[in-house]
Amino acid sequence: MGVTLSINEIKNVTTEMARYKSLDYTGYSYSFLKRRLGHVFGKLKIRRLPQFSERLADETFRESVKYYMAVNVTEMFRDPGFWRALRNDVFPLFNGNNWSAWLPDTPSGEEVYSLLVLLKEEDLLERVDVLCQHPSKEKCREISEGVIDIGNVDVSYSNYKRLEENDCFDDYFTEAVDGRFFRKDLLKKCRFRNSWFGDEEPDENFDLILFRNSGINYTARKKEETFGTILERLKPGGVIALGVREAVPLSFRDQLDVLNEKESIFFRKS
Amino acid sequence: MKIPEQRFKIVVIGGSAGSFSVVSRILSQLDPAFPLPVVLCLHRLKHVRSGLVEGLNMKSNIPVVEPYDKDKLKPGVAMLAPSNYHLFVEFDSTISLSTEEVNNHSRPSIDYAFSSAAYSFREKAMGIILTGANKDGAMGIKNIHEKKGYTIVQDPSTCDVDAMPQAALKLFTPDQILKPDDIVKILNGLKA
Repeated sequence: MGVTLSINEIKNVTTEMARYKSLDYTGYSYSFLKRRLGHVFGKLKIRRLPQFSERLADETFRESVKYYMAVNVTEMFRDPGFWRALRNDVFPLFNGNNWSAWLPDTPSGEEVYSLLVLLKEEDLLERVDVLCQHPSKEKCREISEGVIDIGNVDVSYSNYKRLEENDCFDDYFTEAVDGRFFRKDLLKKCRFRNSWFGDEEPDENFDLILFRNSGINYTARKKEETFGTILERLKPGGVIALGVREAVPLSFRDQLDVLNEKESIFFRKS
Repeated sequence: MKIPEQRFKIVVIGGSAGSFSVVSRILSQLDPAFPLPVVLCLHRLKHVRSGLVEGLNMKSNIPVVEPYDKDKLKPGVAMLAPSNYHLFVEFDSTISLSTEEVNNHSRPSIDYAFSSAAYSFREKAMGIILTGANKDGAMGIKNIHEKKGYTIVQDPSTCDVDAMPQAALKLFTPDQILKPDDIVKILNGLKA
């Protein structure tokens, strides 16, 4: 980390960033911004704050900022117990009908690929529309191309085995000259929305929303506001999943029932 | 050994290989009315979510919990960094968790936990680094030292693996280098 920012500098930077679409990080926690902006400055070789502010006027630079601010999910089937509960307890709730899933903040493919593998193995892939959303165009492109974190494939495989699933993990990937990719044909029912969900919400409601470990980067107030926005898009009886160490904000607890407390899975009261 | 006279708002303890028994020993001898919040950042298996907190609670004189994101620090409660999450303390005395990249091959990273306490609590932070097999934590506890917080390094001669304390000692001179039983005496002498 080349540049260490003070609180006031972080406030100034985020205020400057918030002038641009899908770059409003003013509601993120101080500790997150301190690290993440340091990370971004390092990646983009920024040594002085004025240099950063000037370059924000350039759209290509802003795209790079969005790309590096994102926190990738580095492994597939992170928290295998969650995915087991999703397969065993949530999928059956939709009774074989067509249904929809929304990942409002999809910084990398690992989470959506995990969902698609489970849908494939439960023979549900054709029945489920999946909407992935992220403000970075490049992130959306990478996911649509099946890009994975090669360095963590072994971890992903280990997680997959913990699901007690069929041992056919390799079947979900293709080998190419430039690396290993998640199979694109499994992504055919996925749509991508290149925007920040705070700026542009989908005009549809969903049966399942996966919002795992994104809200932890926010302040408590922003987390509560965001949760409300997302919950509006969940159908009555629909299911929302948070990270395993995330709780539902107090003001929304009367709208949800617990489906699996340990895995932070909740369904919306009808 | 000397009991510090300054008052603190948080105690952060970091450890890795061999630290379970040391932390367990410290917690089992701690005054049940210990007046400060404690944060425990211990390297642990990423895919094993249960067991550690239960194990520590078996002998601890104060409750040990794994916090949820945005939980508030509480006096007399030890908060253990959950597996596969980084843990940070914020200015408003809440906990933030994170799934960001591993640091020093670790998530939770002890460096991150110490550094966040240094920046949020400055001279009101106490950092204690215990036995461990890598350098994670050394830079973080140095941050506490730089912000005029109080730092204790476990005496390397009492460590199962002394790489972590030795890495810290290469970076700065802590306020004290102590055996586990003396660390307990220091803690039990603290005032809120």
